[in-house]
Amino acid sequence: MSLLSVENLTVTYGAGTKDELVACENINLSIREGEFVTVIGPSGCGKSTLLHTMGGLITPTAGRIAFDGASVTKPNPHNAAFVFQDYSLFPWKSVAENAGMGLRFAGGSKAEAAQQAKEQLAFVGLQDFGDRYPRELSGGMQQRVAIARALALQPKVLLMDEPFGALDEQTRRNLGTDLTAILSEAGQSVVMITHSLDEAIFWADRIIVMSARPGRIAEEITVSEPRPRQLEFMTTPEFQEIRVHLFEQLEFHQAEAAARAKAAA
Amino acid sequence: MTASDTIQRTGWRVHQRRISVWALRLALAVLVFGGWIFATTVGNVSPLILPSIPAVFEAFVSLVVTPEIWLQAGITVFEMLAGFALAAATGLIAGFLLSRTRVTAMAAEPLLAWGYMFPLALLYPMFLLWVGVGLESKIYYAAVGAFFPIAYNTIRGLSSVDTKYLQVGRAFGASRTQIDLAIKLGAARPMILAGLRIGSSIVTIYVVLAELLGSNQGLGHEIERASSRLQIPDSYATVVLLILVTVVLQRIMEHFLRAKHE
Repeated sequence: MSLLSVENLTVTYGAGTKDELVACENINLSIREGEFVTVIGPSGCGKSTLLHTMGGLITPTAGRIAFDGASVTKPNPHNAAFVFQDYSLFPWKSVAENAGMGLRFAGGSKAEAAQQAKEQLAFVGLQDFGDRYPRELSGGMQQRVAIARALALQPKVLLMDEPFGALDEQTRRNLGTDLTAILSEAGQSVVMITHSLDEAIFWADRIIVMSARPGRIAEEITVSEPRPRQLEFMTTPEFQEIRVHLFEQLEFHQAEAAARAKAAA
Repeated sequence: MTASDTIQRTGWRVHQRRISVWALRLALAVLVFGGWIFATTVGNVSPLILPSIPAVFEAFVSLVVTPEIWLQAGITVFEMLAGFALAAATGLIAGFLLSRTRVTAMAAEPLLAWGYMFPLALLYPMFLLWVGVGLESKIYYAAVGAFFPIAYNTIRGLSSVDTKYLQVGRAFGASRTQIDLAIKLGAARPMILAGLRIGSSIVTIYVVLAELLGSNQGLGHEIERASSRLQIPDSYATVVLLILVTVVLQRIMEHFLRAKHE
């Protein structure tokens, strides 16, 4: 059953001005319950715009976003909660306060938020760090706090905008395998934007490949290997085959974008 | 060379540097006091310009045992605290209200910056005319001086909050009050505290200045009175007391206005 659906979505920035920019064009997509979807595409193809619109942070220029059939007009973190690229933790609040902050904003009581923060921090393995401040934590740990903040709302969908983009390769891989377990256990649907081919394949039930701007869906690839997956999955022929295909696809869209830019100049 | 060897050598270097710093400070003190002693003995400088160290010390001792001088010191401290409280309250409220909309923030920012740079000493005679020679003129004058950096920093801090923090608020459905209190105030806190610290220094300077320029109470007035009667050692001794009192007060205020966690 479709939980979150994107229907004929077009998002245009600065419509009607000379700086008009079509970020996403005519996108149709539906996220099923418990499904892990990764979105990959060339830089500036409107991936983040798509994700932000799915969560109600951006209003569609045309088309609509529907959650359980109802139109999404503003963020509802109980339905879909965000994990941002740069963690966006509040440096002036403790880790526990940060983890509970999303729920507080969404209207939860102080006690409720504290309780959820504690549970979710334990869930992501940071139970001993509640009294610390974000700057005392490594990047990977900070991102786990941001994930705990989103999970505290027990959302049906997690919207993750390049959550590991700012981390080094080693940390990404470790955090990645940790989170595979964590997120499979949590049972949410996840939409995750990534730049990394490996991440896009390793995590996904379904990979959405976007074309260069204006962003359209170029292809959907289903990864049949059951989740949670072990790191060894990366060495299988299935993984390698998808990886080569994705690589070619992205090269193609990148080259196409470059050619179009040249023609326009 | 082993690792612990390196650490020890670094430790030794830090130690050495600390010794050098203190040696330099000591040298400066020796220079100042040596110069003072030289001027008042061999240098033959008139005691009306520079009294000898023993004379100032003697005056200081007899000064601090008179209850009257502590009353005057209390008045000066009260003026400073009242001026600061007034400046902090008005500056924070004005900064907060003006930062509510982009237009008011943009209009107010340069005005407050000018107010901050304006030589307010020029206006002190006006304060004397408006509120008289008593305590109030010092309090208002110091408060006006400290108002500008406090309000300016409050506006700057509140209107330059990183959009990534505000986006978190929006994404999780924060109310306007929550955005103000949990996000903007938290993000702006270091800058607001810096404004309050600047304000607290300005208050101490302006109160002393105002007392020297025209007053009938306070340590500044005592200095002025002693000099006008040519009781120069008393005047110097009062300056020393004033320095001690303001340094202590400044330290206490700084302690409470320090930013944590950033």
